Amino acid sequence: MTVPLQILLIEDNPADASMITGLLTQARGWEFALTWANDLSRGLERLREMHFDVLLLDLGLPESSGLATVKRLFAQAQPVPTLIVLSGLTDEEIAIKALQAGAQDYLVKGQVDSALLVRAIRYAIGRRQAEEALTRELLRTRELANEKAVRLKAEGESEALRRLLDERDQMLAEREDMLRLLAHEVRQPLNNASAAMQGASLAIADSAQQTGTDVRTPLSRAQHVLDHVIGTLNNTLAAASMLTAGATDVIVDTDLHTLVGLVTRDIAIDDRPRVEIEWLTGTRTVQLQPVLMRLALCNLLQNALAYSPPGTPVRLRIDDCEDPLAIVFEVEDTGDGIAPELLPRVFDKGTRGTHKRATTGAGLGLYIVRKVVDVHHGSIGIAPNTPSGSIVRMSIPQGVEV
Amino acid sequence: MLPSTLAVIDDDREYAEYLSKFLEQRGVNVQVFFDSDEFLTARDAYEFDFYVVDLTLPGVDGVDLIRLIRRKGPAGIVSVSGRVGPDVFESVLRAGADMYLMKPVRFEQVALAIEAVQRRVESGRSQAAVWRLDRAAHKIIAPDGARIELSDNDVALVECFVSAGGATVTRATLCERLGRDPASEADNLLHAAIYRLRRRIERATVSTVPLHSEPNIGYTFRGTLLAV
Repeated sequence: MTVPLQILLIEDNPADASMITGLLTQARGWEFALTWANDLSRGLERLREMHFDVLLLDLGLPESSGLATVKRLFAQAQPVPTLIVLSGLTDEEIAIKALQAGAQDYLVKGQVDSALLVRAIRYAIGRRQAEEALTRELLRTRELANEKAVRLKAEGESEALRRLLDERDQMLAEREDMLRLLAHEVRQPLNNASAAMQGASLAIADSAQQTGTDVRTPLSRAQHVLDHVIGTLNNTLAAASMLTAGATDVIVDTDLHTLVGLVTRDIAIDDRPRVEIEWLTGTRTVQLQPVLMRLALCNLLQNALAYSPPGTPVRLRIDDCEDPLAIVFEVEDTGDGIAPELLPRVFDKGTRGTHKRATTGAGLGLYIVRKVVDVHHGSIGIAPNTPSGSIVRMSIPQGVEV
Repeated sequence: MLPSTLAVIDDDREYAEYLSKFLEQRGVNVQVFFDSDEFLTARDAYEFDFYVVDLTLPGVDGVDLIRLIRRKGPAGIVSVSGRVGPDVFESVLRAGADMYLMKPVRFEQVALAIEAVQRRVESGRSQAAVWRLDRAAHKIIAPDGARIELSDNDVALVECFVSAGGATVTRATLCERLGRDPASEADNLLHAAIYRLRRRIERATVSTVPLHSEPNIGYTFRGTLLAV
């Protein structure tokens, strides 16, 4: 059994409505159910209440006529069923406009017989379905085109990204090679030269009676220069290799006295008497990354020595902090202090003191100190010393996750 | 105090020779090996009291060599190397070295490191190094006789190490003894408690406290610890 075709007829003239009903009834071989509304607002109400397959709409309604009726129909929220407009002989022009506005067909009242009406209805439904299918197809095609465009764009982008990554990898590999070269071919020989010089110093010290001090002075100066070059190289290598992003560092139990002993021996021999160590804590084992901390403490001392007058003391103070649990290193000098305009970027890469005393250096020292402090989740600050100079205070948390 | 015999394994001949001379002058009997094969085929390779190992070696790599030496016993191992890289320190320690020194180092710094490690090795080995927990008095008695007052937390921790008998005590066990939930990972109370305990002892005695952190696992008291 077929489902009867639901037809809504909006027609103000009862005679016309009856005529249409008659024509529909005459036709054989189909079933339909007709709902009649005698004005547009009632017709719209019916539309809201139930589903219709076809709407037969008279264009000569009293409340709105002609094209305005069709426009009102499409302006309301409810979906419009397959639409066939019915017009008088006189308004054929309007009927054609109605087609453009969305109607499937138009019939001139008085020129229709039963067969024509039914055929018109069937064709209209078929056309409407075909149109809908076409619209769906078009939409799908457009979606596919969009998807394809997006995909092509993404592929293009990922290709560019991959090329960029490849280039980056290659640059990193080259950088690694450079670092290895620097470490092995430059630092190692320097290290050996320094060792040879230490040997020579010792030998000369043994026979100091014969040679006197005039030979030892240039020798110790040469050693000083060498130490400085090695120090800069160390900082550069450390900044480039150990403190790069993503490097994880193990914090281990570290003997403070050994660490401080190593640090003081990093200082050139002729500067060493200037370094005073002040122990304010009995703590001996702390949690640190000792390789990095040696570098940081050494940098702080070298800086203090370089930026304060020759012969003046530089103090390394080691203390505990109870709350929060921390080990605190303070490096104190009696130099000219740090110019206020330098303070905000004193821990940045490339910041160098303006004082004439320190004429060399890559401005890496304090930058590395700060990076090392970051690795330890610690804090660092600089305060003026009285009457002159600076105090750098570095606090490294203890008793935390290691 | 320096060890009496020591092996230097380093392919940098000049450096190794100078270091050897420096240590010989201080009474250490030094033997130099210029590559790991030479060392590994030596008859008395594992008889030395101490090892100074470079990392970049012809033959077996330094890190692997350290692992081999560590497997043979508790002798002190200091790695002295110019190798650069973000994980050098970690790999060396994991392999079992006691200390890592980044080159360049002065010979006196190497000697300082050797002394510090040797002290620790000796303190663990010495029969006299007995620590005692005085339960009644809430005190720990150091090998040198120093008596150190302990807090309730300290006693709870030390009791764990007494029952472990030198084995590693896990964080969970220690946390439970402190009455804390071991599941709360962010809780630093245990680390702080250990830090305070060790600090309390270190302030009162020159004896080396053989309490070691085992990252992510727990803590070990590597010495004789008795309850009285």
